[in-house]
Amino acid sequence: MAAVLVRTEHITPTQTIMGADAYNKMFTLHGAMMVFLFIIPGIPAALGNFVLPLMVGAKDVAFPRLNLTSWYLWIIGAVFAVASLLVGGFDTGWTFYTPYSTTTPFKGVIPIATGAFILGFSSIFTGLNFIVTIHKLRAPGMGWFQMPLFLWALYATAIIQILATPVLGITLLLLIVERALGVGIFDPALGGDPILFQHFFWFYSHPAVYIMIVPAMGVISELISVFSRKHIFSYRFIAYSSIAIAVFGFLVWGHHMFTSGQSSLMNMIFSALTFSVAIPSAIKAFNWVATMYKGCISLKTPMLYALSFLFLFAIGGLTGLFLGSLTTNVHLHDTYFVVAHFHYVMFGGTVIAFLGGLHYWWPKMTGKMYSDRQGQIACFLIFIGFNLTFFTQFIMGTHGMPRRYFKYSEQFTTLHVLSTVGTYVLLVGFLLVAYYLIDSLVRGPKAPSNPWGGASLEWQTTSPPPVENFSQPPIVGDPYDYGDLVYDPEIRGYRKLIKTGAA
Amino acid sequence: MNLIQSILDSASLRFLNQADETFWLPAQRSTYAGEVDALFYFILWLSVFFFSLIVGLMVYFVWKYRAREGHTSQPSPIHNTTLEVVWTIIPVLIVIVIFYMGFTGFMNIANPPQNAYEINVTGMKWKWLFTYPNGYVDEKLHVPVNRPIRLVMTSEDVIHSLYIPAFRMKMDVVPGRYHKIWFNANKEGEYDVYCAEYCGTSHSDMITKQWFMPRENSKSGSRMPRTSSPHCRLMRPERSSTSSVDVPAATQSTGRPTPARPSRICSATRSSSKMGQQWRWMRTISVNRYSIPRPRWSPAISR
Amino acid sequence: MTRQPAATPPQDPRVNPAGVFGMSLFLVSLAVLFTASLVSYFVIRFRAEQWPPPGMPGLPFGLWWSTLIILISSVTIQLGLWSAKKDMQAAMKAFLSMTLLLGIAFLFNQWANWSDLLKIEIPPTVNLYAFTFYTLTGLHAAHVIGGLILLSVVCYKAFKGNYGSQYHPGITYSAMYWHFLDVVWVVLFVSLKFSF
Repeated sequence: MAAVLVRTEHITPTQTIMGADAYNKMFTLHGAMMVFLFIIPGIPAALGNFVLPLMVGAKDVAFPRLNLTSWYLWIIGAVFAVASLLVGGFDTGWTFYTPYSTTTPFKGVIPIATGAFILGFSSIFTGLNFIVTIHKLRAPGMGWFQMPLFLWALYATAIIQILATPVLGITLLLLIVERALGVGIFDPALGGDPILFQHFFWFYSHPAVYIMIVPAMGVISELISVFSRKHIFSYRFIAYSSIAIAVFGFLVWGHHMFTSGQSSLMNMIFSALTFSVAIPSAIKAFNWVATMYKGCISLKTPMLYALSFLFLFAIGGLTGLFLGSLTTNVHLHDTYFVVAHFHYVMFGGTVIAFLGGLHYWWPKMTGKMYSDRQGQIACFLIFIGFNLTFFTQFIMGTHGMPRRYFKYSEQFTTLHVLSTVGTYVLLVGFLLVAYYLIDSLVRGPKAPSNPWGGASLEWQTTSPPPVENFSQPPIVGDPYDYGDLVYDPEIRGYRKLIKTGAA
Repeated sequence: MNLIQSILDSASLRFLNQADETFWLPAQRSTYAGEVDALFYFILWLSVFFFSLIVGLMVYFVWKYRAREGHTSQPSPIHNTTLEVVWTIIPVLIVIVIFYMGFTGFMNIANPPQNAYEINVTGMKWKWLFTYPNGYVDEKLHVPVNRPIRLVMTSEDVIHSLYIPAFRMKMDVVPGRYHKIWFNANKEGEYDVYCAEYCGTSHSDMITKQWFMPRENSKSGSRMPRTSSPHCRLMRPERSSTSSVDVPAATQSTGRPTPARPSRICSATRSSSKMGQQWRWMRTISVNRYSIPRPRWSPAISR
Repeated sequence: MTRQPAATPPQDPRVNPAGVFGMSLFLVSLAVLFTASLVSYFVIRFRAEQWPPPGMPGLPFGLWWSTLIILISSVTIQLGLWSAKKDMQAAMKAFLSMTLLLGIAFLFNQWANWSDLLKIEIPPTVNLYAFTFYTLTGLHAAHVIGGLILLSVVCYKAFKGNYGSQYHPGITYSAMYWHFLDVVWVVLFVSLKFSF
């Protein structure tokens, strides 16, 4: 909600509702909280922890206690984040660039860095659990290529979580030590190197972008197929492209630093590698569209989110080309163009997919149905609000509006006002989602086992699932074969043609 | 795009200041801006094409295959290797082209010509100091038109980033390092200089209104802003690192004598420190034929 | 240390078949952590014109002792694991406690190394040479402390007679972790000692 305050501040070119320091703390808070507390753990921890064991047909993840630890660590991390506000906040931006972060007068830097460090371990444990579960606990008969694509996506994500997050850990640790002792390897006065911090930070934080987006892609692969009643097009290409993104994602961190003064050779290499990530994403987009071909497409709320995702992610992905290319990057780096780009990816991608996934699995999680009509309206509001908020920012960015500016040039007033109005529309959309989801818990009709006609294993058990997930062993089949599922108006859900005990 | 622009204009949503600004980009004021913009528009139209392709097909399929009475999904292949290879290869080729264009353009930006006029830049919270080869120090950047200018930049405290949108130029300014960048301004006027790397409370106060500067002002030099005390520090460096490398040969490039009289500078600026305050946030670059500032103590050069 | 649960065996008397795999992944993750810290050390070290900086002594000789201790402890824990597999209770208990003691000795020796430096007034804040030394060894020591906590739990369970030839996951995990710490130390030691 800090975002709403930030946008409100921008209705006028100068001070509107808060001072410069308050503004700086606010956007930092928004960035750090959203990235570390919500978007990174969002799909893997919230949806993944519930869906993954069901999808592989297991009782639980491989290490339930480790999973619980991961959850407690998340809470401790969140407590540290709140503590950082109580001791005076922090205004470093979520990137914590040195030497600013080691010299800023605000005292919240150490708590928030500690919090992010702890959240990092939470993330590592989640990833570890997922990899082991997928390796060891798949239901009998489920080979690697009988897994739903969401699992492939989570697997790719988990690899990044395990291999990249420790680097964030050590970086934040060194930052904390440096701030506490006043001496450190990022301090240029002693022969240290502030650019080294950026390398370390982005070595984690760029793959972290894929921690956010790859599971989102996995969710979309499920949704598009189910609501088109069509087998996913080119299963293997989508699966491999998830892994490809995870691997390439490790090699592109330098593209955040084209203007940092690193050598031209490094810029060249990173620019080339950056484009390599574009390819698997493009492949996925084409395959999703191809999946809808000759389908039977019903525009239920989750599907609307999936279509919004395609629209927004196409923009988010394509604008990445401007930033991957060196000369245009020099112009656009650290402007609103970047802000708009990553919001299209993280919000238009991850958050929209999260909402889609939430609406898709909500009946399974809670056993209750929400109002589809209200869901569609909310999705529409969010879509309009989002585009109004962030498309205007692309234009401001190309005209040179730098990010993290408290005041701005009057020429941008119109666009800023439009952007802020968009934020309010978004807010209304979110409040509506919160309203009808809570309402469904209280008054919603009971959900059937398989309301959407999904063919993956989680729809074979009851909604919500029993303690050990399955009362009888699930039957493994092709997760995208909808041939033998028919809609039964009596139970308002799908059931198998052949009586097998499901539904 | 012209259509959108005219709609915006008619709805009095105008946000463009200068005549040759376009819907997407500010005016081109450096020699390499055109090249950057060409690539920008190339990617833009490419993106428009692919976006229309993906979203267009999506909307078409959603309409054509919508769930309705009597319609069920029809069988079609679930895999087609040829198709996959085609839509892998085509993006690969396209990004190679984009990469190549971006890379060659970047090599141009990164390598200044030999005869560039060199100005030392110091970033600090929250101002820029520009030190000219003749020893003159100012918070404003004055450069001659049609002459390559090289900036050698470092920071006194945290990381800043010098950004001039009209020139499509940006480079981080890092403590303990000397970063070089160059440009060649091709039209007189005044342009914004921003700090693009977040640096604290007054980070955004580097913003200012753009306007064309009448030539007389810069000619007379009477409105030249004077810096307050910080540049005295610059004259007597506190850190040994500041004076070490990369600053030589600056004076030779202009052939002008460099008066080593820091005390005069300090007194001169102290007297006009009020004016310095007034100009504190006016971080613009002015480009015109005469605008290399003279040291205050040197006799006015008649033109 | 917050990492313990990774290595703690489940309550279930059956060994979790995924345990060793999970532990290996965890160690991979930690290996990345140490690699990153070593990379940062090398960047700093090769940016410097002189290393150690003028007037700075070499590293304490006691680091050799640390190396020796941790190498021996790696052997003892492996012997402990073997004895557990062969159900030799007495040997298992002895080797595990020996490892525990050697671990504590390692920490004490590290502390002695630090105080050697502190005695000649080289605190971590004096320059990056000292800073990197303290940070890297400190990071490793923190993991050793974590390992010691794990090891004492395992020892306690061993003396209670929980472990046998069929069931000894705690020993397996702590042995894996301990070998890992050993390897990290050797790499760390070589990097610090021989990068002049």
